[in-house]
Amino acid sequence: MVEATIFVSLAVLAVLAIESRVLRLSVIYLGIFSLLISFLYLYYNAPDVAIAEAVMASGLTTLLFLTALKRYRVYRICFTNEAFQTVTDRYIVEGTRRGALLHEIEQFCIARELEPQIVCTPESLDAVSRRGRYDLIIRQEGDELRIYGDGQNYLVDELEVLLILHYHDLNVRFVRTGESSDRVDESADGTTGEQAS
Amino acid sequence: MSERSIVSTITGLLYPFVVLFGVYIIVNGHDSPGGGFQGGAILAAMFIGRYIVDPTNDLAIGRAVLVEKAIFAAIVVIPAALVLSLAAQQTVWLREPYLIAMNLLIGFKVAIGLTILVFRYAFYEDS
Amino acid sequence: MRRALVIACCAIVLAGVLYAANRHGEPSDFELARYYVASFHDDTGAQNAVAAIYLNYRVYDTLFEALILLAAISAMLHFFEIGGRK
Repeated sequence: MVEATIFVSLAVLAVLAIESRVLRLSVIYLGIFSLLISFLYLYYNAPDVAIAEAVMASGLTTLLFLTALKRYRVYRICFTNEAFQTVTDRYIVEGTRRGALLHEIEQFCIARELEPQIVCTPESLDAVSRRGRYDLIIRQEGDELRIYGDGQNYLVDELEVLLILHYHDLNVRFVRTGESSDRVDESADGTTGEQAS
Repeated sequence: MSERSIVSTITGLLYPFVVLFGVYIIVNGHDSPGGGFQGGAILAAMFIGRYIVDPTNDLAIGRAVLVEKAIFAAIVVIPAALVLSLAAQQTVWLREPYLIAMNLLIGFKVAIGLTILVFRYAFYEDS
Repeated sequence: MRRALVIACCAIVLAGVLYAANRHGEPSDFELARYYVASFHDDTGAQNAVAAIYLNYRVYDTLFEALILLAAISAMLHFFEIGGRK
């Protein structure tokens, strides 16, 4: 009975670990999987192997995966300006105040162990947000900057405070999007793979 | 910040007990389940967890590798002297000290090795 | 399509493993294993049969396991040094 229960839960946990969209959750499922396997070893009278499995698989491996996930999170930022015909990075970084802002956002991401990835396009906001793989969309419209971020994400809050403190002359407005919250949340949770869209 | 301090306090409290448990598993490995590898993995997990919580005290990797090489030399020499020769096999009083010594050596080697691996691999800063 | 293929492969492997396990059963009647279990305490002085095997009967295994760990660490440090120097 114990054996059958553990086997069924092992199968369920394995499927969950593979199918989960949030990588951090699959790491946790894998840790529980290893813990159950070590119970199974104990049930089969192999305590040596059970100790090794419990320590290595559900302790060290989980720690290793979690730190790796934390280190290599990608934070995708999109900068759009419909006025440009073609956009190169030069337009933004050329020593202007807006270039400084983007640089500041980059530094902000690096300080939080995120890997900033900035994309500049002349596409419209609708086209960009329909692609749905950006955590932060910055849109320039004449003299106004609008930053679209998820309302649930605490990083956007911190960023807003930072920009209000240092960049109040830039006419920045924050727009919180609620409907794409699941996507943004998931990417911030450590999913580095491409979203299927 | 307060969550951080809770976790680091608990880790600091648990640290000596887990280290003691790991050493117990290593030393008592010839009498009860456990042994060098398991106890060493417990020690390594505790060192790494402590480093994750409080990354101030760094590891001197060069010295650690040197220690590990010395331990490996001992792991080669001791069985060659005590197990592989027939005369040494007959001396009964040497058997238990040999098991304890080998478990200790393997345990410390595995602890140092896994700690270096995870430190270097997971916390590698590209300078 | 790809998913169905993966599921089919898994099912085939599972069926094969179950068939093989049911056909042969557990290989419990090895002479050497019985000898180890019967006389490990007299031979090595250990209470734990696993410790007796990996520290006495099969000490070469332990030795090369330790060597593998050392080699892995040396190789990793070597490659990290090369990557940092570039």
